[in-house]
Amino acid sequence: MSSYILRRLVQSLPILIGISIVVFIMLQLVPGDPINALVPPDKQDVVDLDAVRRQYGLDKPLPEQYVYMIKGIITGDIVSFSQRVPAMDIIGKTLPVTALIGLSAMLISVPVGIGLGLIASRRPFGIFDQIMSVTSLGGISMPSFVIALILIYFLTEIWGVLPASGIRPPGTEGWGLAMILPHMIMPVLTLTCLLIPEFYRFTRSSMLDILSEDYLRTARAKGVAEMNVFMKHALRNALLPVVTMIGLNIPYVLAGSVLLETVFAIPGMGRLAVTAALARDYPLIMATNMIAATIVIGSNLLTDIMYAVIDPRVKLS
Amino acid sequence: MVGGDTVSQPSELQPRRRSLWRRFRRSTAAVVGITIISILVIGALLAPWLAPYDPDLPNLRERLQAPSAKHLLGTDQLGRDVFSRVLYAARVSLTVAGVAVTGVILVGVVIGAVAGYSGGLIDNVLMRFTDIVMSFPRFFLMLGMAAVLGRSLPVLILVIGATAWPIPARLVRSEYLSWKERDFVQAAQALGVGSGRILFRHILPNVIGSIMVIATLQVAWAILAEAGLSFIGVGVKPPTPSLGNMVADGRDYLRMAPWVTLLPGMFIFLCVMSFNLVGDALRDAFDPKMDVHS
Repeated sequence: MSSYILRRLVQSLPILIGISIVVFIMLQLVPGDPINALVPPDKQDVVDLDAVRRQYGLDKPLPEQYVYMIKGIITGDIVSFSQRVPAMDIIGKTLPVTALIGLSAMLISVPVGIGLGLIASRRPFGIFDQIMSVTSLGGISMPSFVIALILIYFLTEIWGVLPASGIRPPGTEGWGLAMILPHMIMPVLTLTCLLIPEFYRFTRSSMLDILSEDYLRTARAKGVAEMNVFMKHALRNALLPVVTMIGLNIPYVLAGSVLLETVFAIPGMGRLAVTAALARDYPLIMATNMIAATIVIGSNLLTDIMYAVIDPRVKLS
Repeated sequence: MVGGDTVSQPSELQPRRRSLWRRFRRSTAAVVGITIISILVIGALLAPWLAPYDPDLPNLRERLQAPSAKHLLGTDQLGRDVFSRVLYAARVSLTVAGVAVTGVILVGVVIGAVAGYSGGLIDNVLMRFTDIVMSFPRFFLMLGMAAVLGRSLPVLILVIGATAWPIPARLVRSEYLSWKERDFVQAAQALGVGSGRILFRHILPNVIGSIMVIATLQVAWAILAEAGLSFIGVGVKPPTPSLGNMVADGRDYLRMAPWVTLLPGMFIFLCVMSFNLVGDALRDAFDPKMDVHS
C-alpha cells in the first residue's frame, strides 16, 4: 500500500510543477512592465521600485523569477496589493469558511443523492425514476446563482424566514458555529439543490450499468434473492464509481463556488478569487489559483488512495 | 499504392446508423430539446426584427413595470423592455458559447486523436498537459485569465474555451485508443496509408457520434460559464445585454421587481436545459455507457 501511495505522490509531482509554471506564465502575460503586476501603478512613485525589483528578482532571468514566485507563495512573502497582507494569510482566513459550507452541503447531498439514485435504479423508467430524472436534469441545468436568487426571493424577501447573507470572516469576535449557522443555511441549501441532482444521476447510471452485468445474472440464476443481489453484490461494486463521484466534487466545494459566494456575500475562497480578479490583484490571483489547484490534486490523490482501499486490484495497475 | 479509401467503409462500421437516428428521434426529450433550441436560435438570429423595443434605450417613465400585454416580460430599472433585451442577450450568449465550443471541439479532437493514436511519449506529454489544465477549478482559472488578459468578447471566448478543451480531448483520446487496434486500421497502416489520413478519414467517422454528444453538452456548459462570468462582472460588459449580466443588474430589485432578474435567469436555464436534453438523448442513442465526465 505504501508503495502505491508513494507512486501516486511521485506522479502528482510533475502536475504540481506544471500548475506552478502555468500560473507563472499567466503572471508574465500581464501587459506592460511586470512591475505593474506587483506594485499597482498608482502607488509606483511612493514605493522604491528598484528595491521591489530586486526583491522579486525581476532583474534576474525568468527561471530565477519562477523560483522567487514559488518561494514567495509558500513563505508568505507574496503580498496582496489590495489588502497589504501576505496572500497566504488571507487564504488561510477564507478557506475554512468555504470548506465549512462545502462540506456541510456534501454531508447532506451525498446520502440523499445516492439514496434517491438507488431507489430509482430498483425500478428503472418507473414513475419515480421518470419524475426524478426530469427534475434532476432541470437541477443540473440551472445556473447556481439563479437557484440562489429564487430561494432568496421566496425565503428571504417574501417569507422573511432565512437571512441571505451575514457570514462574518473568522477572526471576528465570537466567531463560531453558533454564530454563523443561521446564515449558513441558505448557501448550504442552494449548494445541495445543485449537488443532489448530480449525485442522483451518477448513482442511477452507475447502478444500472452494474445491474446488467453478467455476474449478477449468474447470482439471480443461482437463486439469490433480488434484495440480496441488489444490496450485497451490486451495491459493493457501485462503491467505486461513487467514490469517484465524491472525489470529483470535493475540489469544487473546497475551492468554493465562486458564484454562490458572490450572491450570499460569503467571505470564502470563491469570492476571494472574484475580488482579486476584479481588483487586478495579481499576487493574490496567483496564490489562490495555486492553492486551489493544489487542493484539487490533493483530493484526487486521496480519491486514488480510497480506490486502493476499496479495490486492492487497483494497486497493481 | 492503393488509396486509403478501399481499405474501409467507415459508414458500415457504425452499426445500424439509421436505427440510431430513429432511436434519437423517438425520444421525447430529444424532440423537446431540439424544438426549444430551434426557437431560441431563430429568436436570437432574428432579434433585430423580433424585438418590439430598442434594448438599449432607457425610458424612465416606464420603469419596473410588471409583465403585461405591452411589455411581455416587463421592464427593467431603466424602463427598457426585458423581452427585447433577452432576445439580444440570448444572441450574445449563444454566439459566445457556439464559437467557444467550436474551437474547443477542433482543438480537443486534434489533441485527443493525436494522443490516442500515437501513444507513448506524445500521449504522455499531452495527457500531462490535460491533467494540468484540469487541475484548476474552472472558474478560478477563467477569472485569473480574464484578469490578466482584460475584458472583451474574444477574451471571454478564449477563456471559456481554454478551460473546456481537456474533456473532449480525453474522450476522443480514449476512443482513438480503442479504434486504433481494429483490423481495418492495422490493414491501412500495413498498406502504408499516412497517419493523418488514417486519423481523419478512417477512424474519425466512427468517433463522430461521441463528438456530437460531448459538443452538445459542452455548449450547455459554455452557456453556464458565460452567464456566470457575466454575472460576476468579468464577462460581457454592460450595456451590451447578456443573460448573465441582466441577472446581476436586476438583483437590487429582487423584492419589488423579481422579473427583471429572474426571467433572464430562467432563459439561461431554458438554453442549458435544451442542450442537455439533446446531449443526453444523443448519448443514449449512440452509447449509453459513454463516460462524458472524465
